[in-house]
Amino acid sequence: MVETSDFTVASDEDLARISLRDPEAFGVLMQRYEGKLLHYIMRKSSVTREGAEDILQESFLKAYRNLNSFNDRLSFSSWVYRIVHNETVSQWRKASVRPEGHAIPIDDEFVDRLIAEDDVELGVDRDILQSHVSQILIHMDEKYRDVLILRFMEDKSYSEISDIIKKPPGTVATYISRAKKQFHKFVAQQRSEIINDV
Amino acid sequence: MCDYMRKNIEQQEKRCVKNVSAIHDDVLQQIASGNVQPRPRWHFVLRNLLLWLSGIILLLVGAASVSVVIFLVQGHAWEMREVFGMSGPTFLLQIFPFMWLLAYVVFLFTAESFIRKTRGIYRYSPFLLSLVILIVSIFVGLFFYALKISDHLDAQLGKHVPRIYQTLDQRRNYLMHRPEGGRVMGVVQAVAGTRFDLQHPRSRKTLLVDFASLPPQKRSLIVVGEKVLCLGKWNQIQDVFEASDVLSPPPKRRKDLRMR
Repeated sequence: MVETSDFTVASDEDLARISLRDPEAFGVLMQRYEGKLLHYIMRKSSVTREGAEDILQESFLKAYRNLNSFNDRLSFSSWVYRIVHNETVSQWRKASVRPEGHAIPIDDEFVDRLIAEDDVELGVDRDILQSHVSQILIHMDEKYRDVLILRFMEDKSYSEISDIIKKPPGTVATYISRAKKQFHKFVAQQRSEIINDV
Repeated sequence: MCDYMRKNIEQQEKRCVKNVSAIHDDVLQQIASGNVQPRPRWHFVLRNLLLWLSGIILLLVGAASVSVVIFLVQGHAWEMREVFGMSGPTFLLQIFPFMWLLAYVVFLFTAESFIRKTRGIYRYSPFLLSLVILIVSIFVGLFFYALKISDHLDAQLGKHVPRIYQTLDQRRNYLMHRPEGGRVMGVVQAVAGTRFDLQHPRSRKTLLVDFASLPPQKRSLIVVGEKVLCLGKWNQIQDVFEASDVLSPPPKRRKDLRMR
């Protein structure tokens, strides 16, 4: 059994169980995840920083309310990402808006990781493409954009993505494959525009 | 992922952390004030149980639909196929209970959507799950048919919701009652000489039937209150159906529906 003094070394799953009787443990969990999750919300949606903070706060409250539904078949990380994912989608639907721009820049390595995994030459200078990634992602289908963000920005495995978006791992693999194709397609479409910009 | 990339991501996340301590404090404050409490475990167990139960009940109803489809197709007057001069597939299309098939699809689809929401099922392929549900429903449907649950269900629906049920069965009535096609079906009302009134079971319209050219051994089937299927020719000018043969209605169909 993990004691209160051991919170910092306890696993997320242990902390989730302890949180039911000691909310301080939930505080430690929040500290561990708040940065990652806020970053994820802002990558995934077009909300302002304040909007993302509201979503994050609501997600933490939901996570606490639903702590008893957490079970060992999932990692805590996947479970809490799923809550944030659903809450973000729910907020979009409430606002009836489609994301129009990312609140923070896409991290520099996104394109590198995408190219490295796929071993595909995009045919445009990497740095120039980097500045257009946000625009390309915005035009992609939501389900494809989600898996690309989870895979190449959040560094999640197929199994974790499966648990977050509640789709079978096979479907996740298909989505990622199609997402890459769609990404390449949009890059090809925007190539002339990018060259003109230069 | 290389160390440089990981470090970069961590730096970006740390930048976010600096601004979220207020969220952390606010959430803990709400928990401490008792405004936010974890839902009890039984709430989630019960929800999962209800989803499974709903899915299984819908699956059983779907299986019952399969059994009735088998019963109706099996119990139809296949021997009359030749009398109507239809090929096997054409006859099957005429008698197939498509409404039951539709009900089966709807129940199965709903059952699948309930089961899919249960804990952990999303990990299985939708195709595999649908296939399992389909196979289980057909096997259970065959089992229901063997237990004669389909007969009972068909009889009860015919008894309690006859209007709706017969509307669903309208194509069968149309198949059996087409004067211009050389066949009429109904209940014998009154016999006078070589003619009798035949009342159609649904429309209640009466048609005069002349059985003068009927072989003597077949005339014994013409009994007031009994349902008969007459084959022959419709004389439009005299508005009389000239019967050349009389048959008992489909023998395997349940009695009350046959006679209605």
